[in-house]
Amino acid sequence: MNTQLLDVSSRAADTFVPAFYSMFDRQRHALANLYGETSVLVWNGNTTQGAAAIARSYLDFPISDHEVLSYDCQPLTESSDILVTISGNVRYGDEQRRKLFHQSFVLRQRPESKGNYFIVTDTFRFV
Amino acid sequence: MADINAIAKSFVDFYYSTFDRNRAELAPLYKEFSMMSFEGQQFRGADIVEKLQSLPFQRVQHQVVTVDAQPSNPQAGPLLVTVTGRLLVDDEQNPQHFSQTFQLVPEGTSYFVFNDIFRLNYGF
Repeated sequence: MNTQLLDVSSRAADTFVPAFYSMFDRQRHALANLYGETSVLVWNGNTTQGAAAIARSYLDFPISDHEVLSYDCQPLTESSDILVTISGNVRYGDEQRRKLFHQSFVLRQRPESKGNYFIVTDTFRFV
Repeated sequence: MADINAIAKSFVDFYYSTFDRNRAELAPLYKEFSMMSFEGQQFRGADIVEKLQSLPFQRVQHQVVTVDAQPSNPQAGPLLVTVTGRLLVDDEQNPQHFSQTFQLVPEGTSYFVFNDIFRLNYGF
């Protein structure tokens, strides 16, 4: 196994996962910076493309509180892309019940700054 | 371009029906450099199907609830397939939730599994 690639991908995931959900719950307007023009979000089967449209759709959500229960990462083929999958639960607004979710991301290094990643695809489902 | 949702659907149908019938038959889907994370444990190549075969149940039934497919690289053919569902093992009455994410890489007229991440979902 390419352990160097595994190390890089697990470090990226260790940084990305807490940052993403803390941004979602507390500084949601900043999420736009994590996506690019070609990024695709599939949220419970609905597709949205592009950083601006994705960030706009996330701004429509009520106040949220995500709890990450587990996450995994693997390097993807022939590139420095990283697959990150997350299981957790989320509470929206003043709902009593927390909903279980699963989310998968493909992260890619920004061409202009190595070590800095953006989201290529974001797939979210309630489970 | 082939309909990626149709490809994902037929892969998922094949994968879980084979898994539930005879896990050993999944071996051709994985290559020596394929990766699987199973409940946080890492496996590679032939170790993947060995792990699946060693799982401590006699019978399992997967019920797929959602399938999402996206190209994982717009310039090429790999597909990211995300599955959520429930599974029942042996005589259990209560299904467990699971989620599984695959990256499928085209080879000839077919695909193999490069990445596979499996988790049971607990949380209530």
